[in-house]
Amino acid sequence: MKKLIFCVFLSGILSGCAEEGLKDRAISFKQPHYFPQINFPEGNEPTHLRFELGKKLFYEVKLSKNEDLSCASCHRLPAAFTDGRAVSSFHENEFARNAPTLANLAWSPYFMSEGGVPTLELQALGPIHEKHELSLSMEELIDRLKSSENYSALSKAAYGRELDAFAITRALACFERALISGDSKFDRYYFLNSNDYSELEKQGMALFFSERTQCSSCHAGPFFTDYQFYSLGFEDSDIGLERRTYLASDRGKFKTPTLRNIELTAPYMHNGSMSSLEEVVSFYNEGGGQGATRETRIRKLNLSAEEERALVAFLETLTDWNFVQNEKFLAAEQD
Amino acid sequence: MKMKIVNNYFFVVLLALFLASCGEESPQAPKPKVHLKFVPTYNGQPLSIDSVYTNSFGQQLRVENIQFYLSNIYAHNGSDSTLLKQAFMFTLLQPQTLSLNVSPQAFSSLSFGLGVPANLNKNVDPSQYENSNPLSVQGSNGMFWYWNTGYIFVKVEGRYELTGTPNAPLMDSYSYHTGDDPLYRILHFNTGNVSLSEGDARTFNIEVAIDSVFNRPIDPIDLSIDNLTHTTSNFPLAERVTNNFVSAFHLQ
Repeated sequence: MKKLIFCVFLSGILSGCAEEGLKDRAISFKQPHYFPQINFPEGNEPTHLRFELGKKLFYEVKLSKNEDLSCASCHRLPAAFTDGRAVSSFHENEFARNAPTLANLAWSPYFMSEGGVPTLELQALGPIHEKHELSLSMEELIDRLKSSENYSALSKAAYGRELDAFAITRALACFERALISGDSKFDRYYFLNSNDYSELEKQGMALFFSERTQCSSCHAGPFFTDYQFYSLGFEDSDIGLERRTYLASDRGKFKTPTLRNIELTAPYMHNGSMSSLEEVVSFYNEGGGQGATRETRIRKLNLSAEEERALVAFLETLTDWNFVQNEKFLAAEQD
Repeated sequence: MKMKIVNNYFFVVLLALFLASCGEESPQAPKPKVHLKFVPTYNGQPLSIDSVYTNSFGQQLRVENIQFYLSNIYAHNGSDSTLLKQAFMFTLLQPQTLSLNVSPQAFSSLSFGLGVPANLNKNVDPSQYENSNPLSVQGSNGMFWYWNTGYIFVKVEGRYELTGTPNAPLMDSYSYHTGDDPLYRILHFNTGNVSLSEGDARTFNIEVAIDSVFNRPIDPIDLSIDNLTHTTSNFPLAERVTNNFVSAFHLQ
């Protein structure tokens, strides 16, 4: 009898160990000292398993209706988490836009081109439900994923709950917050005093930060964006910020995009209408588009051809090759 | 002897605890209930998704989907107001009854918001709610905008054709999705003095006259012009649809 009780007791301990096989631990994201500290939302501080669950979901094709697309379909690491296409809708869509890079989202005060989404956790819901993107209900997604022991165990270990909308959105946000890019040639020169900047790059940097071009008045700070909304004067069907505010004065305004890794994120503009940095710089040099809401700082710059080349050379120093080759951000081996 | 006294004392305490717990588990009298029965109609008849209706412009339409949020459902008694339900999402192609416990039992009017109030609407993360909550990701069942966070207050969707020719196929779609804080509306209904005792229930039939969305006399909707709004894409139309939808509710 005593032996029987001992065996039952032992099996209980062993099964308990099996359930607790996944042990989580807090982690910190490596970030440059010249970036501000990240304010992690309460309850979604980074842990090893939250990051792993988020990464697994990011590359999971079961997130899409036909199980053929994932977040990574439009956000590919080698292209700094863009996709190289003009717009990133898989269906005809009047609001289809160029895929934004996912670098340094941890510091973004809001999301989407109109700024209508206040947190990264909430943003994760959008592409899943959007009928022009992954087009799947949360209910169906959870049904698909909960049959996987791995997802269920990860969710329990990472968030202490069964896989649900809360865990899915938190995990995706945790992974995306880890996508930190601040190790470019520019960073090494500007913040770390390296001496490998060419004369052309220095000329471009001086122009970029000058009163003459005022590039840096919008593409400001360590993330090369002020997160504000401006019109470059495009006159296409996408009304931009007006869609959220109903104000005609906001027509065609979009959130300032970061310029980090800009060399890798062609084509450019909200509609992907420009294929090269040369074309973009020329567009600004000519004073932008003709739309009535065009930002007043967008005006003819009278840059010479060499100055245009210098600006392009400078922009190309914003590429963080370590970021786009970081294998930690790639999909793990599938189960 | 001493042990026996202790045992007796122990038994009395145990019995007292048992009786106390029995008292806690005794069934309570059922609370009075109010049943709000929402009945969708078109031209005074029960709404049918198979029926083709004609609007005041002679255009033919079919209604394929109606969803809306009601929130802050209150019972009022003089200056006292009691919240009965925070939010509920209706899919209303068939009559649907919302049953609510009422306390206090006396009231003279009911009110509810059409839509979701501002404090629950913007900058709210629906994934924080349990699935059973109508404001959760799953409970909202497509009634949430993810590009500009906030709930869709009212959805009316279906098909139409413009010629009015009998048996003409309804090839085109109309879609009205209204929302955003300025379109939140509060509706009041006088019920007369109602006093309910424990175990009582009272049903109120509320007609939702869907024809009012299209044929409200002071603001009929011409489907040849106004067949699409997701609020931000055409706010004036969303406002008209909202006001017309408000006029659809009638306490019977």
